[in-house]
Amino acid sequence: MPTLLIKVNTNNVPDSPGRWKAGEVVAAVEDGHVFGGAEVPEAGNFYHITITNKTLAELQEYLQSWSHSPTTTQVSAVGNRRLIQVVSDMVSATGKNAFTQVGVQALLDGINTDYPTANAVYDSHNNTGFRFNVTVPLAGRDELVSRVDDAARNMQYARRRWYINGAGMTFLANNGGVVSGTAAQVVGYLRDGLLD
Amino acid sequence: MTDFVQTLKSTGGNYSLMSTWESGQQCDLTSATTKVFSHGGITGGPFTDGETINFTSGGSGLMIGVATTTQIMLESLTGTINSSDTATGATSGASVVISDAGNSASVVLECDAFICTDTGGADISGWTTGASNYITIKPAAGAEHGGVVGAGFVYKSTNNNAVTLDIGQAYTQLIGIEVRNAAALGAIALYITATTSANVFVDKCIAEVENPNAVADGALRVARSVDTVIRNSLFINKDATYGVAAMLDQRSAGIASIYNSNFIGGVQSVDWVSAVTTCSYPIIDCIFVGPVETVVTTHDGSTGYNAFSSTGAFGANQKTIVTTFGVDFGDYANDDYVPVAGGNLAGFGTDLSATFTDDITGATR
Repeated sequence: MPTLLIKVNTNNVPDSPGRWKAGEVVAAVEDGHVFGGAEVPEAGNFYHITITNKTLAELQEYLQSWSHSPTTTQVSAVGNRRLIQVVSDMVSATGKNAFTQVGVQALLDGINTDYPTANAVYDSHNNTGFRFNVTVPLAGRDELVSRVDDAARNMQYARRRWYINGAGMTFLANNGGVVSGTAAQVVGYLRDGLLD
Repeated sequence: MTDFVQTLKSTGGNYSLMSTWESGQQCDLTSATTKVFSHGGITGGPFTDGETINFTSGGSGLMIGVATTTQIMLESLTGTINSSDTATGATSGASVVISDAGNSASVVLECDAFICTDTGGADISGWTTGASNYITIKPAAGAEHGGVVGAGFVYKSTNNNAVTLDIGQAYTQLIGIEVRNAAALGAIALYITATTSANVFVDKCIAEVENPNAVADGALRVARSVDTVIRNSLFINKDATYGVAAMLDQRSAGIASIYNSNFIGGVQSVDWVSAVTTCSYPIIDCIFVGPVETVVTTHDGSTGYNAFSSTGAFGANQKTIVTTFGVDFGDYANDDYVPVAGGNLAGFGTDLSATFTDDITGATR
């Protein structure tokens, strides 16, 4: 019976993707884990949700960071001038974590700094992807793809993709910060940010 | 500046996981209204995270994380606070008598010698830190690993394709800890991603990945982290397919220096991650083990006194070493990389005592 630790309060730091927010799933531990003094519900840092019919391994997806998971491909090429496409499925239904032209341009500026002959130029974008032209020899293409993937992954939106919704947080607060139940009983309180 | 010290232990500590500590204590360390106070003991309690703390002189603040037996750290302080005030939690009713009027804070996490399995790992980011207000993670006194793999505090993650410890926060110091990625589909063990005035410091650390599943999954990866200093550390990735000990990105400034560290790779000790052919920082007194090295054309002029097990050696005063027969290391097969007496590495290297005087064991070099 693994337990999820849920952040109680939003931290008092400037807003950023790294800021911990109330409701986010911080950690998952095995049944019988010995908590520290700051981790018990009484300390006000974390709520505890024990899932009675799942294993720890089955809960790992709830610790997923909300960052891009890009797929980068070459669309076309004329000599060493290539049209590259980046697509991510980590954008919510309403566009949270969507690519922006400013964000894409910053990524391309970084590439042009690192590779002065690349001449990476914006082509287009939508919420879930973007295209750009770049000059890179075939031998350097894989490295470029790695560089783009890294940059896209670092466009983090939030600490966690999954969080406890308002109703769940209220329920936890009213029950001393501790609940236990089956996955079916908890699922109504556990929200996938990609559905927002 | 005063260190706010918390403990990470398997039992009886402030925290049992690094991820919960990072989440619980994340704050703006540089703010003039964030301070740490010493006290003589807690009455009642416990204090709760975020509750209002009222001082008898009229001031108030908000509790950050958890109080220790000797300190509290508060943010959003306002009003008058005098040393010897009583500080009382508005919600919990817990109280302490403070013994100072508060000091600017750095945070320290002191770790016991145990294997801390934190399935998803930890990401240190989103704080506000500075040159005088930094984050330190280190072993408690007596819990040092002494350069021996598995002998001290081991921070271990098991989630597939997840970084074990991601340092995205400037002014973070890792001293004397071991970071191990043990996932079946492993990823990077120690990933330093802070890019702006990073000033990340890695000293006497061990990082290893057991089951990498991509060429990018080094024990260490440094992604253009400005002014990062690495010394006295050991990076291990012996995988026969994806065995790169470290991926070091030297583009756009980046690392400041690498001293007295070992890079043990099953395929390659270091992947330089870039088409740029100049490595602009000094690499001195290091050991590079791996069948193949990528070649960086130009290195910093002071780079030298490094030992290599393969071609691709660089810098002045190189030395070629042998690993397969245990000639140079105590027990290569069992992760003992201490140079043996009488071997090629005994006495090799140059004097760096103007910069630091210890080694991975904590002893004087």
